[in-house]
Amino acid sequence: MKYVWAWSFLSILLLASSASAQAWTRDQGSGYVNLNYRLIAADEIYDPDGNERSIPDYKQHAIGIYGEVGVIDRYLTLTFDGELYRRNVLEDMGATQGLGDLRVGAWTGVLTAPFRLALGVQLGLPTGDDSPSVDDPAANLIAASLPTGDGEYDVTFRSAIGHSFTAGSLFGFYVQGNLGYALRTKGFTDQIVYGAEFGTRITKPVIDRFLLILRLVGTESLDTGAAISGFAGLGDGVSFTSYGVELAARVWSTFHLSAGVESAFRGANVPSAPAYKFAASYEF
Amino acid sequence: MRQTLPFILFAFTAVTVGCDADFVDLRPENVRAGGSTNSPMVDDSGVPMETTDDDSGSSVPDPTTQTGSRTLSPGTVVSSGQVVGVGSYTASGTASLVRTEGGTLELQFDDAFMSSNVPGPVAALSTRDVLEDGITPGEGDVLAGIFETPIRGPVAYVVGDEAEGAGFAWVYCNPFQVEVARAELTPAASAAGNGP
Repeated sequence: MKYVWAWSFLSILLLASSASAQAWTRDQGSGYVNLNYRLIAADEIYDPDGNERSIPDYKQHAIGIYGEVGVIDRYLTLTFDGELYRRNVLEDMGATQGLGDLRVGAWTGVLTAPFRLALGVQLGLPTGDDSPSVDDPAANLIAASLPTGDGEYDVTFRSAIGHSFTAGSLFGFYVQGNLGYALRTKGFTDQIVYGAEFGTRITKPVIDRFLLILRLVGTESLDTGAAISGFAGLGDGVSFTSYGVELAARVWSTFHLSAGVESAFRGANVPSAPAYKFAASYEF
Repeated sequence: MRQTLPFILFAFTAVTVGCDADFVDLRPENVRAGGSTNSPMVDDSGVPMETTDDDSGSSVPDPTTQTGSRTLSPGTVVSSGQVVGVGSYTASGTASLVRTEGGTLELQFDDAFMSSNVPGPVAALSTRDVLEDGITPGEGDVLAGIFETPIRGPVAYVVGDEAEGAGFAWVYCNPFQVEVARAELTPAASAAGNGP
């Protein structure tokens, strides 16, 4: 029993600043909110076959949110995530801005030992604008190429597995993986989504405020080439695999600040550039 | 449950206020005035491309608004070639420059034509074999019109007589300046059978 409490405490410490601790479902009334800013500045895109092609300077600013709250101990955690604001800027062409797409989800804990296993379902909502428009036909061509959403509802079924452990008395670790299948509508091709995350903390006073996270995230479109390929990372036919690193610091109580960078090393119909991310999170 | 309620209300509110995006035009003033689709579409002196008249006196539609005709007018094939994808993009069909019986010059894509779909697709003509820095009239490039998606034929665009010597027809993502598909146009005398 002592070990169970110790491991639970370690898990909370480790995961408090992780953006989406899906394998660890929450107890009733507890929650987590993460507000983040992401910047992508690209002068190349991945074309449908993954070759890099030059484009005019393109910047994507996004203010995102991720939240989760426990409704029923272990068995029901609700999640909410998406882009509250997205701005696409294509140099000397135009810029679009507005609400991005949002997503709500529900997770249930299947196993708590010897590892965590949770199953979830997420509903993607087309709250963004998939085809911004203006009256000027010439400008409209630019506006329509800078969407803030994908314009379709989708349902993603996910499984997440996680485990936290220590190495001696100095290091605490967690590992987490997830795999899912996204059913898309509006004629879009389905996607396989996956991710893996490794976090570590040195369990010594002061320095235990910091958590280092390594991350691998990917999306694989089952597109056969018929997709209307965009370059903003939205829409049909989007695939990528990215790796990332994030450093989070506990500032006060359960309030954290973090900074990180992710970069796709392969992709299709997405910008080819690092994504810089800054976040503030709070757990209650 | 009290702590869950704000979360649910916020989610509901956000979902119900899903809204259109705002657009800010960042094209240089002189380009906006001319109605061109991007900044490189000006001549060497910076003058925006404008609607022109051909020799027959008929007006050429504004290429920045022309979405093309789904009917291919009969006429004499000036030049034509097979449309092929650039890089990993795919395309098929034939593009032809046709002098119609009415005297206008048209860029025609036949009914077998189709191309990978991209945002902001346009049809263009050029004398050079690359468009990587945009459609530039000063380089001999001619914007023919806008493709509707999905990109497929038949579709025809009226172009000015200055396009008659073009060596290449293009499917081009204009905002992001990405070459999608290209046809190398061969004069009709050596391209028998390729016309629509």
